[in-house]
Amino acid sequence: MSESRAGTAGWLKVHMGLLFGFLYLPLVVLVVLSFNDARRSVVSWQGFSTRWYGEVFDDPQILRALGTTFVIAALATLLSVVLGTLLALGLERHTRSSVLDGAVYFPILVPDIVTGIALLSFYSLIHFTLGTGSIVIAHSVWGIAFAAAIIRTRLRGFDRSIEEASLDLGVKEIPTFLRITLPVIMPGIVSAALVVFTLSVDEFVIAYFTAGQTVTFPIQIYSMIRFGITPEINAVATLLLAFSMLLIVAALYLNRPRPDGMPELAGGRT
Amino acid sequence: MSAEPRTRGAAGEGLRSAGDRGADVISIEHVVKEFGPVRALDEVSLAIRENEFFALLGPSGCGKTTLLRCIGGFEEVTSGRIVLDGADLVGTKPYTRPVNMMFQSYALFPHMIVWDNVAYGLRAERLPKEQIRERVDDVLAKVGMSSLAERRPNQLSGGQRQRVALARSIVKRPRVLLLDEPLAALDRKMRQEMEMELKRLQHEVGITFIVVTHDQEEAMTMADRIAVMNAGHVLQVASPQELYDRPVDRFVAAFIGRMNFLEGTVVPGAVLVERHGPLRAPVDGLKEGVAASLAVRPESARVLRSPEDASPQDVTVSAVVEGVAFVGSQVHTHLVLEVSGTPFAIVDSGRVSMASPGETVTVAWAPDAARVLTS
Repeated sequence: MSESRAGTAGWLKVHMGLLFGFLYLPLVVLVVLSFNDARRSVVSWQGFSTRWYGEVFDDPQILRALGTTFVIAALATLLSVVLGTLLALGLERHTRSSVLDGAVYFPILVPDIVTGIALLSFYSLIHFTLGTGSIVIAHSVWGIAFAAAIIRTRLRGFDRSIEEASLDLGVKEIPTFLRITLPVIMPGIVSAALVVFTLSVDEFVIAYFTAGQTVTFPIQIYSMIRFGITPEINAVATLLLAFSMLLIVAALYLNRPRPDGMPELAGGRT
Repeated sequence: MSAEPRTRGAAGEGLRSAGDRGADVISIEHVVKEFGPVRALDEVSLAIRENEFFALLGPSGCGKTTLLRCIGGFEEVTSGRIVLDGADLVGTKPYTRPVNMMFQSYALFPHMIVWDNVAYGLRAERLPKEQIRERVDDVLAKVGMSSLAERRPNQLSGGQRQRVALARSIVKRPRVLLLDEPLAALDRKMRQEMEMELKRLQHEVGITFIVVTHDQEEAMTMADRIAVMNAGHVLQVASPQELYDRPVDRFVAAFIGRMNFLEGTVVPGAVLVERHGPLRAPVDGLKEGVAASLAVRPESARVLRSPEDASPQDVTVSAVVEGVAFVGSQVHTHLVLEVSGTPFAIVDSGRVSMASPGETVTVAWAPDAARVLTS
């Protein structure tokens, strides 16, 4: 009995090792190759070097694309978080409709390619000039949905009597929102912002459809790849990987369940 | 006040607080509150006096918390007036009312330390910093929380949070303090301690307290006067003694303390109880033939070994002892009346006659110790 169980546990370990290898080995290879002191398109290890990182920062096209992407991500994040917060508040407090709920989260599930095509036809229908603005709006479509979903988890445990207590103590509605509601849900808002920002930075499909002449960072990489995978691209991808991981870890940290985040219910009626 | 002998139950002596009472601070006039088709408050009228410790008592869902929230301004009344110091509060916002509330969940601001929680309401008044510091420090000392002023609410115990909530709600010196089930979250020992403490504090700060509770013992211990509510109605407003001794109806009689009921109809000088015949009772002013309950407090009746032990004017009924519980200072005897099978409970010192289960005994009480209730 116990032997076969030990055997199962052993196999589980192997299985888990393979799984993690499958998930993370390509990333490891990517990171390692970004430090490879080799000429373009040579895959064998030629020694450690950071020269490709230097080349990334010397490449004006990459830098311009990065700048564009950060502007787009920042604007899309701002729009998503402001509207997403209001949406989350409205949904949590003023509706009981699960249909409406589903409708709000639906944009997350729509295939990017469909969103891209839909937006492109919509923009041309209303003669909206494609460019940075159109990408910002496009990213906000699912950004708002993501932000609302994340902020709602924060609102679910929110004890509304703290807002009433604030009103009771002589503070009007809007100052109450700013001094009580907003600080208490702020970790959720920040974590939503980090997630939306990360998603916007590496989003390719929708941006490609709605970019017009604008070149975002993923579009730039895509155009570089057409001439083969270079160590420079590996360096760029590694930088992006590090940046995304940082933001996601920060988002998870901020939105973790905390004892001091919310007042525990002081007790029920007996 | 009548000359009837007053019997007091286990509920304890209601403490009187001194200070002048008399003028009404707040009067609730014909207040109706509807939630959709549900009438949570139905024509409620009450007057609460200056410096009074007033309790709204009733089972859950009776409307007591709704009434408190209407006074605080968190619910709009459907109709009626809530007049404080001569001014109608209906339609005004919570932040303009000179009333503060202590919430059942305490509603402490989780992102602020204790000191800032208490200072919050004074900062809203834009008082000078020096004055805010003085008043916050003073009120924290009053509730014994000075040493924990730098803590966050999540670093406090339930009892400590309760004190902070209390401090925060009295620091603005409201005309009326509303307390929603202030002790419900505390354990029994702490609750008894806080009952006394609330009483002391109310006396010290001289603010009118309106407390909502479902616990009759709590209300009896703390309140000067109690309004008993049920199903959106105020049934009786009276002092704890008055409620206990002279309940106006069956609901109040059963809700405040324990009561034995015998159902029957009013006949001259007695209530005619089926199978028991007429039992003498104070029926003055009641119409003959009306359905009535004869209500006898467990401590108003006695267990006797034989009918001869009763005094001549006593009402006597024979009963079988079901069970006897000795609880130290008292003996609780559970009986079933013979013939009708009605359950009957008696609480006495048990020193005279401690019956044993199965024994047939005589239950006796003085006719004027019973109440006749027609509703």
